[in-house]
Amino acid sequence: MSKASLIQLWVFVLGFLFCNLHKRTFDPVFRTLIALPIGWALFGICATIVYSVYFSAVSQMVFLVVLALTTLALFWANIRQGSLSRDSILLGGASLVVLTGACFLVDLLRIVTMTPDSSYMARFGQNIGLGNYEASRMVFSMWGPLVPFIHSITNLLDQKLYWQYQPVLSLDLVAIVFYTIYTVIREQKSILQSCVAATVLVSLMAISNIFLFHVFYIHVNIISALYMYLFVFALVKLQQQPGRAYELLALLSLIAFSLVRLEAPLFVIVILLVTSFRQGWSYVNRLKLIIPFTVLFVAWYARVYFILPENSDLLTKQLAITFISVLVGFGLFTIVSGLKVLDPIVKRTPFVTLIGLLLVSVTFTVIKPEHMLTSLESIVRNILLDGDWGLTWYVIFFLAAELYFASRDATERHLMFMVLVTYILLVYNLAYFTNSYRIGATDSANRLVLQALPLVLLYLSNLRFPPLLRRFGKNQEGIDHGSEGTVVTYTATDRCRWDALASKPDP
Amino acid sequence: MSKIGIDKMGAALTSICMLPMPIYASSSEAIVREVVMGIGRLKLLSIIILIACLISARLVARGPSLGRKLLLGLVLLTFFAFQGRSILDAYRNTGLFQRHKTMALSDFQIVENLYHSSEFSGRNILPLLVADYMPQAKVFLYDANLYRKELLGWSGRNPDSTFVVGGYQSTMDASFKVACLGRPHIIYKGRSEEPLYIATPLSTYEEETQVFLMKDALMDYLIPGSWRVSQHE
Repeated sequence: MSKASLIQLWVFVLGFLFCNLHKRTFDPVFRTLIALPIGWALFGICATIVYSVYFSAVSQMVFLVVLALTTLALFWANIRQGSLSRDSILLGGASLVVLTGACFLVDLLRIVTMTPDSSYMARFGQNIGLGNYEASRMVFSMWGPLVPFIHSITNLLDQKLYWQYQPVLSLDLVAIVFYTIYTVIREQKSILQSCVAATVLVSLMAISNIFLFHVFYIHVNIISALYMYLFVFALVKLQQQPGRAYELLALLSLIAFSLVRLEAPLFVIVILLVTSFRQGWSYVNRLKLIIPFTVLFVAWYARVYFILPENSDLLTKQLAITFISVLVGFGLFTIVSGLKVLDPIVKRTPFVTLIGLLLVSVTFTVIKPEHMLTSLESIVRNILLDGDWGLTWYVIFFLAAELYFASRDATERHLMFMVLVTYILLVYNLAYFTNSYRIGATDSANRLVLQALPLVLLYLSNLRFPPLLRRFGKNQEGIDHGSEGTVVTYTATDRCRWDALASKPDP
Repeated sequence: MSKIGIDKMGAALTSICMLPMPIYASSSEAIVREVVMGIGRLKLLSIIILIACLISARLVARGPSLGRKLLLGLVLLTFFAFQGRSILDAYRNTGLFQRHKTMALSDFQIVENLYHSSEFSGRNILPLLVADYMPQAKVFLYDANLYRKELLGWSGRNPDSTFVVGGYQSTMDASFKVACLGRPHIIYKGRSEEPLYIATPLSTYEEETQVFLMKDALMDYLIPGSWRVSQHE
């Protein structure tokens, strides 16, 4: 077995041990599927902390020791908590066998797709592992540190390029999207119907040239898609199943997502403004999610400020200060959001965010009409014609129209819908600060759209199948829309009541 | 008169509907020809089928019915057929998903021509080659100003101890040049204006302790040290 596969197995074990601590919330399949991304997230966080504190030739050794200690700590926590039952060990073992098979298959295929960006990311990342500070710091002005950190272990693998992690994570993304969509639909439909529906929806993503290219592409797109999906999914689930498990999943995913792309913290802030400042979210829960994120990233960008070379790429020193200011502002707003006097504003934060982004879009378009409209044209043209999507978006529009008219009065979909709309508005607004988006599959807006596609599929699955909660909401008004500070808990009794309500015909 | 008016209206409507398509033609037939050429016959047909299905679905009665199921079936059939064919075409014609023998950045860029990065093109490919294939070789350069120190550092090795300036005969003589050109090699240019002669396979450099950057009027040559030894012998 190659060392590259062994590293992936180690990362999986790390993630699995973490997920196993929350086995009461995460079902076995979900626990297994998210283990690898969670493992890489922990890997990225450890690497970020180690290299932020001390960057030299021995940092790699220190980092490996930290990773090993984290694994041991999680193992110990599993033993202490009694989570490492026979079933868990069997599940972990079986998953390791499956992952080994996937790694073997990927090794056998030996497919990789590259662009110049890939070569910078890999080369600079490898230099991090060699402790070569001067020859790697440029990368921190181009992308987030997670993927370069993954490449930093290349020298330990007896390889010239570490490519195996990318297809394995891509397969994992497909599996996670399939399983989560399946579980959403399964609440209403039979196993066969749910399987067929999930297969069709996932095919819209997986059977397209652009997605297949990105499955093997050494870049940040699929990884950020994976973490953004897990982040939003965890936020949606938090509303239904509050508790530490989904809180931690959301926190780890949002941190990992922000460690992948430079602009990701902005997306995270917008998503959090839209989702966590709603009724039903307690002040404490909001703080638990947002404060660790802001503290970590203020510290990271402060560190990056001193790392950046004179001829930095995208992230300049001024931009780093702007990022820090935005994060500090967001953190402060979160802290004061508990004040009664701000209640009317806080309650309307999602709508204010949406309207604000819309106004910004209009303003930017008025200031730079040609630049912004060219970008808009490129986004539309890439989605419909030139972005290597084929018919994906046409079918999505068809299904969206069908599902919308089939369940027009559903309310739960608004959360996902707002996330998607604000995301697209932010993508459009970002064009103002860079060159206008161009026509072609590798355009950055097209890749940002790819990143959001799994969420669009999740939204489609939610469009059709929310009546369970909807009926509950209609009949038990006020219970699932608890006042600020209350936590909504659903018990087994509630579940039975939902089932009873769901079995009644539509009024 | 009315025909010209209809043509103009048609052209305007087509350009609005196909907003992203650059249309420079004057007659409606030319416009249609441009659109078909731009999008592709098959894709256009598939798009028309899907749009027709989208409109028809609004006309068919709501709720589960045979008509609605047939429409959904047609949409999915069109989707799977088109996407399947498109992926097959990409697999056969682009070489994107080919199996690679050597997984190294320099092989991808120099030998397989997968991409051309602006930083690592032509003579500037040296840092990638050093990183991948020269773990211990000293690299001799004929001019201190050929490379930025930062670029040499990107090789991952210490530039001060790896790269040596001067101390050797850097101009290619005619007979040695003929001998080098007779060996397996690649002349790599990429996006750069200055091409570089590189011996192939790239693993040739792996066992070398010295590598020399030489030149003639046309280009630079990256010569394995052992070749120069044999030349002198």
